[in-house]
Amino acid sequence: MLKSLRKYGFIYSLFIKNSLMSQMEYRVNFLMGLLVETSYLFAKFLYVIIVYEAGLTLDGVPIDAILLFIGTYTLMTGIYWGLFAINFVQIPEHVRTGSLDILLTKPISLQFMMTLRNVDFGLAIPNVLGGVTMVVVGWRRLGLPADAASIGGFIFFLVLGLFVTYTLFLIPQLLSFWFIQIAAVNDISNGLFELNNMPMMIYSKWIQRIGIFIIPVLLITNFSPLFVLDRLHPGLFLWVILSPILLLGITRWIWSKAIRNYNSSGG
Amino acid sequence: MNNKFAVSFSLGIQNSMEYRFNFFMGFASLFFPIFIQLFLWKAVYSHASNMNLYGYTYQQMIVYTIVAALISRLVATGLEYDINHDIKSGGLNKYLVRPIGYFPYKICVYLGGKVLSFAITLILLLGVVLFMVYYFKAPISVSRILVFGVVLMLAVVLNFMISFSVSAIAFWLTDVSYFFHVTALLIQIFSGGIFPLDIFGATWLAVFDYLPFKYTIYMPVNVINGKLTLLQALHVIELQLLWIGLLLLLTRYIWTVAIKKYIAVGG
Repeated sequence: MLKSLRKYGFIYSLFIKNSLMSQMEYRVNFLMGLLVETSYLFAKFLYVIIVYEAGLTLDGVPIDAILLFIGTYTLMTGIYWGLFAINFVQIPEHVRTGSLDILLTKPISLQFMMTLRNVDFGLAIPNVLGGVTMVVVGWRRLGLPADAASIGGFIFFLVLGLFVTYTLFLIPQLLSFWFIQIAAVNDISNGLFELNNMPMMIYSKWIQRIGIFIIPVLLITNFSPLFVLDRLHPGLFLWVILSPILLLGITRWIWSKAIRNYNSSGG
Repeated sequence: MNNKFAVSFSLGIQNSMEYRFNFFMGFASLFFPIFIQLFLWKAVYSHASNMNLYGYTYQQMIVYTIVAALISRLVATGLEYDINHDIKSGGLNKYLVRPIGYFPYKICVYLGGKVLSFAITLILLLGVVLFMVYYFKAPISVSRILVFGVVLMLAVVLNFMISFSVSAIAFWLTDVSYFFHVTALLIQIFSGGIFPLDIFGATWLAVFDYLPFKYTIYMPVNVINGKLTLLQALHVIELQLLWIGLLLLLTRYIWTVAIKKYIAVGG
């Protein structure tokens, strides 16, 4: 197990290195990618401006907490697009063109290869920097303790959110093994991710319940800020920890069904 | 001979009918941004002591959110990518032998492609208007609806002119797809497609007066939600015509200069 983990860790470091080398080869594209994401960052920041100008507080949470929520969402957007989505969007193409065949012959996990092969630094950097800056500014303005327990807890829920993101947004792409055109599904799943653009408290109770328990998209970025703000309901702790494991199991099950359904159409 | 324009126009209609599913899904993708903003404004207005934020009542802001999203969908061109492709692949060559110029051909195909979109948007907007009249008891006269129809049509043409001007940059830059992402997003923000321009404050509003963007989304929405008087709405039409004229001159100039750089790749 440990040997296997080390092997995959090493392979992933090679993936990162290769991605960085190929992006440095096309530096202008890389810089333009940074520019695109910076302009999206500007669009996200408009929400912060509105909340501050309106003096909006939700459920008694101080106004500066909005920086924690939108900052965590921005940070997660960078990680999601930089590490995962850039690979996920290529899955339908691999299935449709039959280029999956060659990947099937590789002596490592196909899911690992297909879902983590590329890392896009241009998409990740502005969002990660912008997100971390917002979180740090929000943290300081709120006077939250910068101790190991708070920071560790924040990162712990962020990692759990990362697992939820990986599993929840991989599932729609796997539909491409059964259907040719899944652009509509992509639109909807991107829209679902965007629900985290605002703290979940702005939504009605029913939407919050659906977003936590049925399609747990609200678990992705809300729980890190809620934890440090001491607003996380103890009853939800177990669910937040269990749901990524449950989703991972579901994704693995769908993945194996999908691969069995693959018939190498373009091969 | 006007027949060539009619043929180009009908080509645009055929194109839009061919990708009906994508077209309808395009409208479905509006759902999440509208959904998030409706909850945001609900929270902001229920919290605010002043029921008039940025000069909008709650009803006006709700109408702004829905109508701005619909109009941004209606006026979106995606033209930059087509023109870039024509320039880079040598596709412009064929217009040298066609009995119709590139600009008239593109605008006819574009307007033809907007027929279905225009009809659907009008139906949806009619729904919004009926909602305003019956639910918000908003007094909307027939003359206002007629003026709005004219403003909307001119907004479609004006945005075409903006896109056509921006797309000429493809003559100078090698890879422009990223650049067009940035311009599309910034133009949408500065047109008031995400939030009313009033959130930027008086100084920026004064700057936007000297730019054409606000006449594509911000002004049309304010015509229908009653923020502008009928006289002001008529003034909007004058300014739209003025901008269309100015951009027509500008595009003529830019394209005359740019076409000299064109090297007809692809033979």
